Amino acid sequence: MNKETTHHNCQELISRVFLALDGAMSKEEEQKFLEELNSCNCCLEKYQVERSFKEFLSLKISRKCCSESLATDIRRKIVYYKQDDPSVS
Amino acid sequence: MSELSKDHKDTIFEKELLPHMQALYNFAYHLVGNEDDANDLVQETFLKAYRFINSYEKGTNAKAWLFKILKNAFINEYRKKTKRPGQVDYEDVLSYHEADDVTYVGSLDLRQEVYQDMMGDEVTRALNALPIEFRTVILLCDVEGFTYEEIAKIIDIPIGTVRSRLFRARNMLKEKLREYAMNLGFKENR
Repeated sequence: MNKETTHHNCQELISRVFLALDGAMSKEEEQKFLEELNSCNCCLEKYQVERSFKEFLSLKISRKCCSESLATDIRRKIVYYKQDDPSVS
Repeated sequence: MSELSKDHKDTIFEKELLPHMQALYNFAYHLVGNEDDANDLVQETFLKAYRFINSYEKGTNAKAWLFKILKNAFINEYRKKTKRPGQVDYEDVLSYHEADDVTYVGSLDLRQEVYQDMMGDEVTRALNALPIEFRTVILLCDVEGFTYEEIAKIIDIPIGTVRSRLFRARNMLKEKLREYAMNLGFKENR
């Protein structure tokens, strides 16, 4: 897996792809990272592929909606809890 | 910390905690896989949050705090109830997976029509087929947008482990999606 590279270290750059995509970089770090990325087609492609995958997931994973009565049920439980607990009332 | 007044507790509960109900429900649903248990888990979470509201610091990250309570409730109570004899403990699965080198499995070619046509249900099914701890990091990061730091706090693991687990979880999910695509008749040309 350890390929020698003549320019920058692709493996090192790629290891930071997810930090950038997951918002774990500061603005300056991200700026510097994107500049490095633009100088290497293979790294840039890797980044774009992972970015599309992340977008794909957030778009496709279905979000389940709770029933309208859930908030009411929760409030009712809290009321019972308060009645049972002498320190609260 | 001084005890909050009852009215004060109720205000915090209504204004800062309850607004996260929908996100918590979605997380719970993906953990337990059905509406009834998801409802129970969310109710349990809010009841616990109310009981321990004195340890919640106003203005801090309410959403991450609630997710942590839900995750713990799930691990401590729900999984105990549903654990069947013979079921593999996920910690065993984890140490097996996390001991591996972090190497690239490769990537899906999302330009392929088959992935574009995939329905949310199919992607969700692929996600739900992952072991619970891998599913969790994807949900927290890619669905809820929590930071690595927040995820580390929610599931009580070091940040480095969050990164490696996410990396592995994404690779596993790609593998699952590739299998689904093959079943849908898509032939890979490589």
